[in-house]
Amino acid sequence: MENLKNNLYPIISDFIPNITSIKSLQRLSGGSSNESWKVTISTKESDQDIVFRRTPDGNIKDEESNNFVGVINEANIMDLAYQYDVPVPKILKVIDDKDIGKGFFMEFINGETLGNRIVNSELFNSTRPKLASRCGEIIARIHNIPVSKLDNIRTSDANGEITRYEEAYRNHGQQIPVFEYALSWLKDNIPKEVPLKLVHGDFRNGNLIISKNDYVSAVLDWEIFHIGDPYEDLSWICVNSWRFNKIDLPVGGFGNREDMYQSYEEESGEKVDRNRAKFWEILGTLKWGIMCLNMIEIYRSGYDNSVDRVSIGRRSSETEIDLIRKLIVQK
Amino acid sequence: MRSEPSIYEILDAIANFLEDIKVSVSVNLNQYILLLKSENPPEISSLEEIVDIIDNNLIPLLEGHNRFFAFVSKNSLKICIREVKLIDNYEKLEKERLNKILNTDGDVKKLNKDLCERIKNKKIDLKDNSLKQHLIKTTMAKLSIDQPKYSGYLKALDDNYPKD
Repeated sequence: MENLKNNLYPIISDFIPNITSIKSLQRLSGGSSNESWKVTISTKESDQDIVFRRTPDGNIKDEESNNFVGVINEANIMDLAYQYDVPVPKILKVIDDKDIGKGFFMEFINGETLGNRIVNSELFNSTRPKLASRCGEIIARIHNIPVSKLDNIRTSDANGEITRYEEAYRNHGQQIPVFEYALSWLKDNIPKEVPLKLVHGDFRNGNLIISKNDYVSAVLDWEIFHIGDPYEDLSWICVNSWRFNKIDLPVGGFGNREDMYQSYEEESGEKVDRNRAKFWEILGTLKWGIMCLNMIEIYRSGYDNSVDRVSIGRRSSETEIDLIRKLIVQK
Repeated sequence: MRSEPSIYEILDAIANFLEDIKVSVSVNLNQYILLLKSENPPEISSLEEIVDIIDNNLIPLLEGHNRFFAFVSKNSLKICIREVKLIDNYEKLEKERLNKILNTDGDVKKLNKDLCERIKNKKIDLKDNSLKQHLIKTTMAKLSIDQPKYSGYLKALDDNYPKD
């Protein structure tokens, strides 16, 4: 860590010239492929926190690694999102350094990211009821970013997502009739094509910084943004696994779908097709189930032999009961 | 059918965790590590003993990542205990249902493969009531082993979904 500190100092002094020292470095959680550090720097006047995000040393062997956009692209999209009034940390500097690799610096934003606390803490009692509509507004702004501003970005619509996740499921090799049922239903119900938009791809409780006064202060983890069906974002945040046991509040465990849809409609001027949203919620649920199976593969590959990694495999069944509730026993 | 990872993979990962933690504990962890790595079907009483050791002798000493992993180990051991207790009966009922739906015999694994093929190739109607009932019951059984506190499962219990 001392080494990283020494390497970071001259780079930071480039854009914060009055820096006198790096007081501390703290590894932050979050992000599947890239690592983030909270850097506390001292200047003559005061201390200041910033965040440094970079591609970690070594190879990424995560099954999903081919979906990740790379850290420089992540900085670029956040910069663009900032220009289109999406709450994101301001990008301070992008680097490609011979010692510490590719990465970027961004402002540090205070707030809560842990989903469990966001849905339970008394601190957010008056915040929670407004979060769903705030999410709708932000998602609409993300979808308003012109795709013409993006180069060489992966395109994946409903068909593409189904194909990709079906392949991962088949490679894993477990026979799960409920997944087979969902795949069959999804293929029969693929929505007609809609204009493709910039999609965050991982917009959910856990990737949002929530604060009492600003509601959603920032949207994080742009690692798998792509061009796709905008309903992917509207529905991923409703997948039951991101509700942290608050099953009756479908939007992230804090709000109602209609609040989110209405503010999305107001901001985007486009009507939300509720059936299409349901299709994407079912697809999202299946995707998370298959991601859990991928965790078993990562464990078996020897890349990460932790008890945590292997146990997530047993969370795959959670999505089976959610698929049953959505597809088979409909009220 | 048994979920993956198998209980042997889970127990092995817990054994590796216990081997790696560098704390001095009042009990000898080695005997438990050997037990977890054994290829014989685990005894419920031994697994329960290890849950107690993790709870009483390990968790109070640990912090940070290791403490988190100790909690995960405890919960994962409980999954294994439930599976050892319940799986034989569940699989027997699952097999009986599959025999009827598919009108063929074989072990549970083969029957599930057959069912998946038929769903995939549209050889069975997704609206078929015995198929739906089968999927609900099998999934309820799975959840009662894997994640009995999961909100979606608790909701299904509240809604009186059919179960074995």
